[in-house]
Amino acid sequence: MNTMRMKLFVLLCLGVVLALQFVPAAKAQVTVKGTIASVRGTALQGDLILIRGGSAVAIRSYHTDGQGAFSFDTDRTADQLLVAKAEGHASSEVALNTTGTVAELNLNFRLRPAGSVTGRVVDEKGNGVGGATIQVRYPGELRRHFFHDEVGGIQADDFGYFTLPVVARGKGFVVEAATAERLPGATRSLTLDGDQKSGVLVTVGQIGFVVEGAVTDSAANPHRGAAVRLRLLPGSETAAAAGLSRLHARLLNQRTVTGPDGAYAFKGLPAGTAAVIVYVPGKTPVKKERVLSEEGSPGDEYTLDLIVD
Amino acid sequence: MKRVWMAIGVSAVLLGVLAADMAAQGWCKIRYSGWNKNRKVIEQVYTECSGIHSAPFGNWGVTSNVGHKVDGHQFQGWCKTHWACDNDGNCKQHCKAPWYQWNSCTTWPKWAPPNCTLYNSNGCTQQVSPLGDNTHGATEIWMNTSCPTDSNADGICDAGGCARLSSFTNSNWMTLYELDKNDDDELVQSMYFPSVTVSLTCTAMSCDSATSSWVSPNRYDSPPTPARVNARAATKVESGRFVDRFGACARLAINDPIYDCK
Repeated sequence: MNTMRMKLFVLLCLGVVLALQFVPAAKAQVTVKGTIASVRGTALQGDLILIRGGSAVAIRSYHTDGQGAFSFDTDRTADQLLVAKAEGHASSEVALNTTGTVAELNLNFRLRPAGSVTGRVVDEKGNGVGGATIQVRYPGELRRHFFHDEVGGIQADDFGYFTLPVVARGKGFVVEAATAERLPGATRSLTLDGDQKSGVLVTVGQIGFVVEGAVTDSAANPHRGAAVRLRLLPGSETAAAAGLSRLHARLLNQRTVTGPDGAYAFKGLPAGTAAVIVYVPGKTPVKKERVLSEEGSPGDEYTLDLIVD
Repeated sequence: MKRVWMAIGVSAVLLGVLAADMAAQGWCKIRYSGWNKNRKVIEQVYTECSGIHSAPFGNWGVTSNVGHKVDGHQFQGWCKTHWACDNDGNCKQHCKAPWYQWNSCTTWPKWAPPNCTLYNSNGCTQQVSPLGDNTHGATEIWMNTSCPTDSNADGICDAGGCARLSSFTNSNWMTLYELDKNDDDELVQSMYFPSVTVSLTCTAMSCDSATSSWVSPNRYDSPPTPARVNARAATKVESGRFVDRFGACARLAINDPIYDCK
């Protein structure tokens, strides 16, 4: 009986091996083709950016022909992102997973026309706030690739005035603003219907907490140029906001370098648990933590001195 | 019965692995920008030659792999608030501040060589920007990565996160336009550059700033020949920063001490 089973098993294995000979092998690469057009279907001459993840990040550019068509080959990789852009339109992106056996992917991008938005950043009293960082967010949209001229990184002028040159039309958006000292604030959801929208007011949040201190050795000699990192474990409200807002997210992981007197400072922080870690070459990193209380007043300063030997 | 329990066990393990994999999801946010320098105009350019503009001078913008053309300082020229006379002897102040402009209409007879007021290089035949490096756009990309981990139990993250990233490769291109506020922008030429690689130095929580080597164009388009303009380009990784989007890594740290690090 056992011999019989063994024979059947061997036959089964041979069958599987033979069957595999007739299964077409997946191509080493996948062809990605498609078009870029406006939301009304008009072909757009545009550009594509393919980002391949992994330890070695690789970015390649492609261009459409005059009819908005594109075609290129790419590796079979799980983590790829394709971004489409065209002049006068907001860009769009799609995640690609090319690990399957599909030989060809067809993608048709429909880009929204873009216009400009101008406005002013103000504080809670309506006074202009200069130098704020401005960003645009589209609620419900989780992007991974951001052109700064489309979504922010733009600085308001000394009086708080700003212009966002590329904002998608006909789609709800929120303008956010923050300064080095103030927490982010945002508009309600707005829509750009024409070529431009002006008079948008963004009220920044209150002045945030400050974590500061000095890095020295045990003899009180300052460590100049030491790398200092702040990691903030925020309250649930800020954590949720950080998932959506890049201005909130940047508050949670910051770095700086100590000055000649070993001093450092992080400003504009929300409530939460702040951990400060200091790196001095050749020394063991040192960490200290402090709770930034929600009961505190705007601008409260917390001192965290660190000794590195 | 034994097989049923085995199947349930295997399924549970697979689900556990899948759940851990999904939970161990973080992002390394890379901010990078495109830079240009050694900008020059080496051949004839025929843009903004009509009378309604401030010909022959113009501010140029750049559409590229890192952004859109804007009326700024993306591709700075050589001429700023410049007293110039045409070949008919008409003199006035050209090149309005704050821009550094190019002579965008080098074929216009009124301004043709040997009129040296429109050229500043190579025996009055070329234009060279005296200004140094400037950026023509910046971009941010959130790369998938694992949650940071603490391998030596000192409470400080030393693996995973941004530390997973070792290099950043891209190829730059720039399409130059002469910008007009009251009219369509006019195409000058597109420049394509060979790919460059930036070696990244990253910890679990951040990456240092680093710049690629500078490269010259290896191809042109619109038109493909002759090369009307020239510049060198580089990619700068401005920063890398780990982001725990939606707090997935913080949740993981509640039950697993290896993720409980700062």
